[in-house]
Order: sequence, then C-alpha cells, then structure tokens
Amino acid sequence: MTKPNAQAGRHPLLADGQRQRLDRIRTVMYQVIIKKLNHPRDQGQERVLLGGVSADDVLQDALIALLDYSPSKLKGSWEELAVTIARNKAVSAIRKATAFRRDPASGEEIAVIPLERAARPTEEGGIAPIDLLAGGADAAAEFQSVYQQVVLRDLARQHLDDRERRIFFEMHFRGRPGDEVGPEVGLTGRRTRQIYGGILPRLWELAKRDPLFSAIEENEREDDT
Amino acid sequence: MNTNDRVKAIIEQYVSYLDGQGDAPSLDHLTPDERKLARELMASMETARGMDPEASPPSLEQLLADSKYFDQLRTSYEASPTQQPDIEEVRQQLASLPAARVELDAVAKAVGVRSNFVIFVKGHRLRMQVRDDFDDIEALRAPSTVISASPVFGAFHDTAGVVVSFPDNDLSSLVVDPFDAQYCIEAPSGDLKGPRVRRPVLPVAEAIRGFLEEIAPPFETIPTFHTLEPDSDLGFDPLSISSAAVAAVSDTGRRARIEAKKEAWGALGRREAEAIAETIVRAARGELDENSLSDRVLELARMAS
Repeated sequence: MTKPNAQAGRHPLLADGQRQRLDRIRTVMYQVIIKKLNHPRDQGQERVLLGGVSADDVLQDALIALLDYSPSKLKGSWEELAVTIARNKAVSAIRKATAFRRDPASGEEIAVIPLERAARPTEEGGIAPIDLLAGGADAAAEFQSVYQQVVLRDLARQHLDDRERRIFFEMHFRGRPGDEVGPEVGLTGRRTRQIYGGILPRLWELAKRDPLFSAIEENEREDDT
Repeated sequence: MNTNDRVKAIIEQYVSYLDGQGDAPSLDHLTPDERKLARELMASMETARGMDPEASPPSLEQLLADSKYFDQLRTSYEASPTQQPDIEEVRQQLASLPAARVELDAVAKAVGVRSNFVIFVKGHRLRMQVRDDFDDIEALRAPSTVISASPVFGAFHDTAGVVVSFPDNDLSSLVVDPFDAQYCIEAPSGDLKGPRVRRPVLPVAEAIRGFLEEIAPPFETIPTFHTLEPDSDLGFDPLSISSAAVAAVSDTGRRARIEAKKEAWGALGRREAEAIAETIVRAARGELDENSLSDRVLELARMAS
C-alpha cells in the first residue's frame, strides 16, 4: 500500500494498483474506436483515414481526453466515460477525414432525443441538462460487452487449434459467412457453421471463470465509491 | 437433446440468419436458463462484428509518452509491488556470479512487457520477472508460468532466458528458455508436448548458474604447446611423439572390422615412427618449407602403403 502523500495530485486511474484497470479501459477504447472507424488492420499494417489519422492516434487522443476529465465532475464510472469519449473521438475523426467528401446538401447530422434522456432530475426536485460526456447505461453496457469480446478473443488464442481459431475469428469478429470461410479451411459452409456453433458456447463457459467477465460493471462501481 | 445441443442449434441457425439464409431462430422451446444463454450469445455475436481480433493497442507508456501524465504513470508503475525486490537486493543475490551486471529493464516497461531487470552475465542477456502476484513458490512450477514468460522472447530476441522469480529471501527462481513455451514432439514417444517446466526452482544465483552451464558449458583448458626456436635444441623428443601417434593409429587398425584396414594400419610400427620423427626434426629446424614438408608427408604415406 502506497503512502497517502505519494498519491496526492495523481489521477485516480494512475494511482497505485489501478494499472490493470487502465489497461482494460485502453483495450476496450481501442476496440470501440476500431469498430466505429471500421478499418481493421490489413496484412498486419494499420490502415489510416484520409489525412493520415489512424486508430492509434484516435486512441491516444481519447485516452488523454479521459484523463483530462475532472474526477469531481464524473458521473457514473470511468469505464462509461471512456466508451463515450472513444465513440465521440472516432466519429470526430471520421468527420474530419470525410469533410470534403460529404454531400453538402445533407447538412449536419442532428439527432432529436426525448426530453427524459436530455435531462436528469436534481435533488431539489427540478431537472438539469445531462452531461453530454456521461454516456449512461448504454455506455456501461457497451464497455461490458466489448470487454467480453476481448476475453473471448484471448481465450480463443489459448484454447482453439489453428482451424477453429480461424473459423471463430473470421465468422465472429469479421462477420464473414460460413459459406465463404468454409472452403478456405476445407469444409462446407454448413459444417463450418456447426463448428462455430460449438465453439462460441464453449468459450463462453470458459470466459465465465473470469470474475470480470460478467461482473465488471458492479466491481468498478464499487471501486469508484 | 441436451442444453448444449439446443443452444448450439440456435447459434447455428442464428449464424445462417445473419448470413442471409433462413429466419431468425425461435427461442420458445428453450428453458429460461437456455433462453438467457442463447440471448447472451446472440448479443455477443452482434457486438463482435466489426472488431479486429488481431489488433492490439499501443502500450500506455507509448500513448502517454509526451503528456503530463507520463510521470504519474511511471511513478505508479515504479511504486507497484512488481518493483520488489529492489535492484540492490538482486545485485546482492547475484554477487557470486562472476562479472554479472544487473540493470532496470526500462525498455520492457516502455513497450508494456513484463520484465523488471536485465542481467548481463557471461556474454548472455537474461531478463528477470519478479512475480509477487504469486501466492507461493509452487506457482513457479506451473506451465502457465512458462507461458507468461514467453512474450519477453517475442519482444526481445536477444534474450537467452527469462528468470521468473518469487520474492522470498533467496529469490527462488525458474529459468525459462525460448523453447520451453513452444509445442514440440517429444522423442522417443512422439507425443505432442505443450509448454513445460524443464528446470528446478532454485535460489536465483544457483538457477542462473545451472542455466549458463546448460547453454554454455565450460570448456577444458586448451593445453599449451612449446614453440621451437630455429637454432636452439629441439627441447622435445620427436621420436616419442611420432611413436605415440603411430601406436594410436596401429591400435585403431587392430580393432578395425575391415580386414584390409586391420592389416595395413596394424602393421605400422617403429620404422614409420622413425621416418616421421626425422621429418619433424627437419621441419622444426627450418630445413623444409611448406611445399617440401607436404611432399615428404605424401612420400611417407606412399611408403607406408
């Protein structure tokens, strides 16, 4: 346990014993950004958006923004905020990269949301506008579900043979149809789907041994209090 | 049909549905638990689509390198229990190893690989992981310990071995080499073997010493030879040298299974030894240059045959 004065002035996510948590946040933010940018690596090389921005750059920007956020203003958990910032930074990067390619007639995207989502009740009985950076329950759920995918991916690397792993990665993450993946591994599409249908519940059962797999939200909330 | 089969069937049908073949599966026939599991798996499939399973983000050190948070990150890491024991303690433990040098592994930190110290010893570079997350020394003997050491070899190809240590008084350690974590076919059984622990857990200095003896065994001292000065007395007995050499060849010949070899080599004796000794004397006195020495050796060989 570190002495209290050593912790003074340090960001809560950079305090002693928080490294694993920050690592987890970094990993989830990265996958959220990649999914949003929809630009997976190609032949081991990272693709970049028009203008030279890569997922790594967006992640760096998002992580610094997360750490810059004042802990006193935090509502919910750092995980929720991390997902919200990652999403926003990815969208912002896409907008910058496509600024000259968008149809001018389409205008800015404006979303209309119900009042109850745009405001929150105050203790005094009134309502206050929501903090736009507080992602809410959907951000927490997204953190949870993306983290689950990271756990499944790691388990697939450990427990599947080469063919099973290829089937799992191609179908589960890349969303390729069984009819397309099957011939590449010497199987019919139907058999490939059967194999995938066996792999996913198996990995899911293994993943449940990770205490954070289904309880991360509760755990982190306890940490924050 | 059991629970697994029913859920598997749902997943297969859902994949077909996502592939554009058939309808979404009905969950009506499932029990509540099965239905919950099937829903979780289907949601998982939808979440996963678009993620890149091969992508790995840059390390925290790389991401925060030029930011105001870098010092905090470094302080956090240095204050973490993985820095126990400190470098002086490790140096003290390794004092018995000749010319061993211990340094903090700053590069590993920067790239996010678990390695606390680099040990330079006898021309080799070892990296040391201090595993204070282990409850007891027995954890060092688990194959998972070998697996957790293997990323060090991937990141630093110059690493001869990873010293995985438990922070007790002796720094009990297991040394892992780059092949311990690989799958291999074991001889003579032909069985496929996964990651394995091949060395004993010993105090750190002993563990490293044993590993070095394995990868770089000490050679016996090479005997020195007297050199002759051209105009001085020879200082050695050429006949005894040549006799010993001829006797060795002759002995080998007598043990030979090929009859011709047994006869030819076994017949070598005093006469050949004297002829060789004479050549040695002439060569030592500088009476034979390289070509004439070679000619003389060939001549002797012809005579012997």
